[in-house]
Amino acid sequence: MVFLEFEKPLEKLYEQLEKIQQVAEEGDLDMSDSIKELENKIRATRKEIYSNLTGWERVQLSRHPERPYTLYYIREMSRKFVELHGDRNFKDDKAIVGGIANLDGQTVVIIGHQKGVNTKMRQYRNFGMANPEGYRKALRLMKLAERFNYPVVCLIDTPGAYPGIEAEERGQSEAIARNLIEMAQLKVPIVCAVIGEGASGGAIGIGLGDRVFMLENTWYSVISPESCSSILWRSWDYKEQAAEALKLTAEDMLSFGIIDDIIKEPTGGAHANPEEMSKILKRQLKKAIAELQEMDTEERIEARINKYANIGVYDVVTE
Amino acid sequence: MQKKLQLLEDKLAKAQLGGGEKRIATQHGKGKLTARERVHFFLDPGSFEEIGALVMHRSSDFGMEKQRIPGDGVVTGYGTVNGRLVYVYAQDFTVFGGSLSETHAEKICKIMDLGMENGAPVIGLNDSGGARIQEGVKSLGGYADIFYRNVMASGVIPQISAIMGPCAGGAVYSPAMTDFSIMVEQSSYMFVTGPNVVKTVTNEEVTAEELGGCDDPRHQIRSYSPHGSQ
Repeated sequence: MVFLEFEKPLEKLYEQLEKIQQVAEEGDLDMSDSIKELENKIRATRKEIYSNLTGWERVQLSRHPERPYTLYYIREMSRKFVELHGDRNFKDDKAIVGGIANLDGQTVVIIGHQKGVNTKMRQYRNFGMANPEGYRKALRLMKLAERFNYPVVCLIDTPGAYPGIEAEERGQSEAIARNLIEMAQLKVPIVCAVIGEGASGGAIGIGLGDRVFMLENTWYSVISPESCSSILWRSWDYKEQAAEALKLTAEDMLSFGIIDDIIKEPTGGAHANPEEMSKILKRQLKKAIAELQEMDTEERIEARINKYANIGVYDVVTE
Repeated sequence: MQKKLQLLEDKLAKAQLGGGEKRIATQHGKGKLTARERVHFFLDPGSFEEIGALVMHRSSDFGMEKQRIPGDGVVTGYGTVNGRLVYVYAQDFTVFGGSLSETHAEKICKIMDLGMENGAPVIGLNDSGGARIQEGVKSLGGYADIFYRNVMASGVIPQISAIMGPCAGGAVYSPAMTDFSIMVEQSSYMFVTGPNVVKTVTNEEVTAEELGGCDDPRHQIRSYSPHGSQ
């Protein structure tokens, strides 16, 4: 088990539990009472810690190394998944995966950022940072979905779009901007969910939809707290402060009207019970898709555009 | 009457053989199947109905009038896959290297039209050297007819391409426009010009696999290894 900084009290309790279990095993003693007591204590402590998370703590949770990624969710949610590769221009981006899946009989096109599970895979997946070809692949799949009238599901989990020279040469900003135009007027329902990190253009590149959800312990912001801190304070040390100031948690996003709903995670975060998490996510996605399919195509596109047009606070100045 | 029927039998038998036994053996030697075998294994047993088995090209230039093979390098027709109606064409590498002539294109267009009319997927098993040079611009016109149908069928019926061998020149544009393209590992290539032309023009030495194999990062569409290792 991996414990984050703010989970230290939990770590101690788990150590105690392990010791008692060991003693009980070696001495052949019945210590079930104290084990039970300790387990209750763990549950209570966890609940307490998780009911009161700060922005920075949520950022840490969203990057938890054991957190499930897109392909895990797809495997859990869909009986069958046909992954499709390549943007038909440059190459196949491993940081974005996508293909045709089936949510209990409803065929959908699922697209999402994918991070690696170990060091080698993290490099292979470019740490979930997509290149232009990744966004172009995503667009290709969305157009495919439009042609066959399949709803689109986007799962967002990226520390940002890849900022390298080659990415700029191939038109990173153009690729993301084009996705925004095309997604705004795509004829099929689009449901997005931030399942981990939702950083800036990297996230919005596949994150414009009729319904946008965030899991409880995720963040969605224009910049990561570290980068924000290094710009404002010239050091990464103020990241906690930056995380608060950025207002990047799911609750903040909901209050701004940028997302439509928060999807509850099991206690201890998505990684504590990934199977349960997949079930909750699937239920939400299916519900949203069913609602959106009731709507008329034009009505749906208009609602989508209006939704984005109404984001932000402004006053109208009258003469 | 009997004589006429016999003639038909003979012609059909000749069409079955495609480019002849020697070329079929070469194809098998490379670990590949012929167009007819591919269609046979792809469709549900006994469901294939062939269309245009006796079509021959109309060219009389460059001695082509002496080489007329029924079917003209492509097997077209319809059948079922898991009980579902599909239209399929398979290019026959044993006939003029699977090259596309005017009539070859007409056959493909015909089944694309039928696919659209009947709302059934069109599946292409591609294995073609490109345009049939001897026919010149007529064969390029054939490509135009196919591309037009690719565009008109987009969003109407699913279009699927499988690249089963070297596909060069005009032969790659149509697969690039279809909804799903599948390549075979190690034995299929997609490029506008092959390694020899690249060598002549830019002096660069590349292998066919590097230039247009399915591990080529430019494609990476979806590859299946013939041995099933994915």
